[in-house]
Amino acid sequence: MKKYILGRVVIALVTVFVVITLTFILMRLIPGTPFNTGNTNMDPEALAQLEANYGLDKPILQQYWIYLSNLLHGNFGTSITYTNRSVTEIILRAFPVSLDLGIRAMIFGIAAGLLLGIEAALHHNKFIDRFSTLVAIIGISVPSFVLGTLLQLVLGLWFSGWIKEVFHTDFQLFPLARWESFRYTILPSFVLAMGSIASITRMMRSSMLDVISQDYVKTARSKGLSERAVVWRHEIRNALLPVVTIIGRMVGGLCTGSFVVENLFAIPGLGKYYVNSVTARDYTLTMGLTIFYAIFIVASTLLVDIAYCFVDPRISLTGKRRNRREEKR
Amino acid sequence: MLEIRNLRVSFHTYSGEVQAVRGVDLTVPDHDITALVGESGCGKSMTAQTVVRLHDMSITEIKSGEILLDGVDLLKLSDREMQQVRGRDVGMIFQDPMTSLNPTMTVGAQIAEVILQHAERDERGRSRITKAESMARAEELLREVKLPDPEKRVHQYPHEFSGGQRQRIMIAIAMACHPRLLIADEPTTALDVTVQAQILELMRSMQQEHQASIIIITHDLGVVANFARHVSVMYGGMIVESGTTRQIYEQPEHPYTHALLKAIPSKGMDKRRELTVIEGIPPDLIEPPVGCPFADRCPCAMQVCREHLPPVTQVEEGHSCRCWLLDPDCPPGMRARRRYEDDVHS
Repeated sequence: MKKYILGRVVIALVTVFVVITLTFILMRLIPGTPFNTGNTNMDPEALAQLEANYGLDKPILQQYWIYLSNLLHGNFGTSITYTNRSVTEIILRAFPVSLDLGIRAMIFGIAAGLLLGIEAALHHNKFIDRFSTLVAIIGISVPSFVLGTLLQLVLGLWFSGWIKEVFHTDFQLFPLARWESFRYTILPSFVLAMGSIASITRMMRSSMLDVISQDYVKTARSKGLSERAVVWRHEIRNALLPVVTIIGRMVGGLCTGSFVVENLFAIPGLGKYYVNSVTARDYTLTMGLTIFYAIFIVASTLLVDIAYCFVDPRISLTGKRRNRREEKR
Repeated sequence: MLEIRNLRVSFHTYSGEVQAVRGVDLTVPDHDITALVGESGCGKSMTAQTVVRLHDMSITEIKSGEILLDGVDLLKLSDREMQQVRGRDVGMIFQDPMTSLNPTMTVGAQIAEVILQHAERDERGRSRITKAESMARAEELLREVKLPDPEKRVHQYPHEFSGGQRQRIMIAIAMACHPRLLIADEPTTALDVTVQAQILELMRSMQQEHQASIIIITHDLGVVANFARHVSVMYGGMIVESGTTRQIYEQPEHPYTHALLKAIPSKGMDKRRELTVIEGIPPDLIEPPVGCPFADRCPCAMQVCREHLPPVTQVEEGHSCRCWLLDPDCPPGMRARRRYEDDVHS
C-alpha cells in the first residue's frame, strides 16, 4: 500500500511538471504580451520598460528557469493584471467559494443521481424510468448558461414577482445573484449539478440493470431474503462500484469552479479569475491557477483510486502477487 | 415429499407465449435423490424454479397445477409466505458457481445472512441468534462442506476461491437452514470433471446427514447414473419417461431415452466409431406440436404420433412412459423395429 501510494505520488509530480511546462510554452505561444494584447498605443519605450520590470525581456529559457525555481520555493508570483496581489492570495480568497459551490453541487448531484438511477432500474420501462431518461437528456444537452438563465427568469423573477404580489413581501426564495446565505446557493448549485445528475443517473441505472440480472441476485432471492435486503445489500452495493469511478472524476471538475455558473450568478469564485487571466495574458495568474487545478485533480483522482480498493474487495492495490501465492497454498 | 401435479407454465416473450412446461407430473420421495434429465430448453429448469417461484414473475404465468410440499400447495402461498419457504424449506444450488456468489460480501456473511433470515424471532421480531453466532455457524458449515481453514476462509471474498470451492460454499448456503428439499440446477455443469465427482459426493453426504431430498437437474446421464435413485426424462415441456435409475438404464422404453443413453461415450468404446447424435432440433414451444413432441426426431414415428399425444403407460411398478409404442394397439412390428434400430446403431 505505502509503496503503491509513493509510486502514484511520483507519477503525480511528473504529471504536474509536464502541465507546468506545457502551460508555460502554450501561454507564450498566444500572440501578445500582458501589456500589449494587440491593440495598444502605448509608447514602445514605456512598454519595454514595463516588460523589463517583470523580467519578460529575458530569454525564454531563463524565464522558465526562474519560474521553476520560484515555484520550488512555493512562490507563485504576483498577478500582472491585479497589481500587488499575489497569485496565492487570489487562490486563497476565491477557491473556498468555488469549493463550497462544488461540494454543494456534488452532494446534490450524487443524491439526486443515485436516487433517480436506482428508482429507474427498479421500475424498468415504467414512468419513473422514462422520467429519468428525460432528466438525463436535459442535463446532458442543455448548456448551463441556458438552464441558468431560464431558472433565473422563471424562479428568480416571475416566481419572486408572484410572491411579492400575493404575500406583499420582498423576500426572495431564489435570489438572482450573489453569494450570501443558503438561499443564494440553491440555484447555482442545481445548475452546476445538472450535468452530474444526468451522468450519475444514467450510469447508476445501467449498472443497476446489469446487477439485477446477475446470478448472485437470484441466489440472494433463493435464500428467502426480504426484497429490501436483496435490493440494498446485493443490488445497490454492487451497482455502486462503477459509479464511484465517475464520481471521482467529477470531484475535480466541480470543485475547481465553473466560469459560466459563477459569472451568471455573480459568485466570487475562481472561474472568473481563470478566464480573465487568459484574455489579459496574465502569465503568472494563468500558470498559478493551472498548476493549482492540476494538483487538485491529480490528488482527487489518487484519493478515489485508493477509496476504490476499500469499496471493491476484488481490487487490491498491491496484493495481487500475495493473493496468488495464498491460493496455491 | 414433493409432488407436482399437472403443472403448466408459460412465459411471454416478444415472439409469443412460450409453453415451457406443459403438464408435468413429478413425485420426489423423501430422503432420496431424483434427477430431472433433458436437453436445453426442455423445461426442466423452469419446472424446478417454479417450485420456489424464482423466475421473473412479470413475464411468467403459471397456467395450472399444484406443487405440494408435504401437503402444502406452494402455488397458493403469498409472496411473503413463499419468501419464508425459500432457504428454510427449499435450498437451491445453481449452475455457475463463479457468478452465484455476491463479489462484495465475505462468504461468511453470505452464509450467515440466510441463517439470520430464518432464525427464530422473539416477540419483538428480533432474531434470537446474534451476528457472531451466525458467523460461527457459517464457519462450522464451511467445515462441513470440507473447505480447508474455515476459520480463515470465512472472512474471505468469493474471488479468493476456485470454482469447486465456490460450489461448496453454495452448498453450505443451501443447507444452512436444514431444508427438506434441495434443488440443484446443473450443479456440476460448469466444473471440471474431477471436481464434479467431489461435489456430487458432497451433496450426497449432506443429503444423508440432513435427511433431505434432492432434485438434480442435469443433461448429463453419466452424472445421473451414479448419483440419483429416480430419473425423470423431460422433452418438449413434458416428462416422457420416469422410473428408478436402474429401470431407465436397463430397460428404457421411450425412443428419446434410448437415444440419450446411446449418446453417452463409454470407456470401452471403439475409438473409430462416431458418437450417436440425435438428429434434428427440439420442438418450438411457442407453437408446440399436437402429437408427441419427439415425433419429428423419432426413428419409429408413426402416423398416430404426429396427430395425438400419447398417454402415460405404466410399464411396471414405478416405471412409466409416454409413448405410442407401448399402446396395446401398436403393431408388434413397430416395437421390433425399435429394437432393430438399436442394434444397427450399437
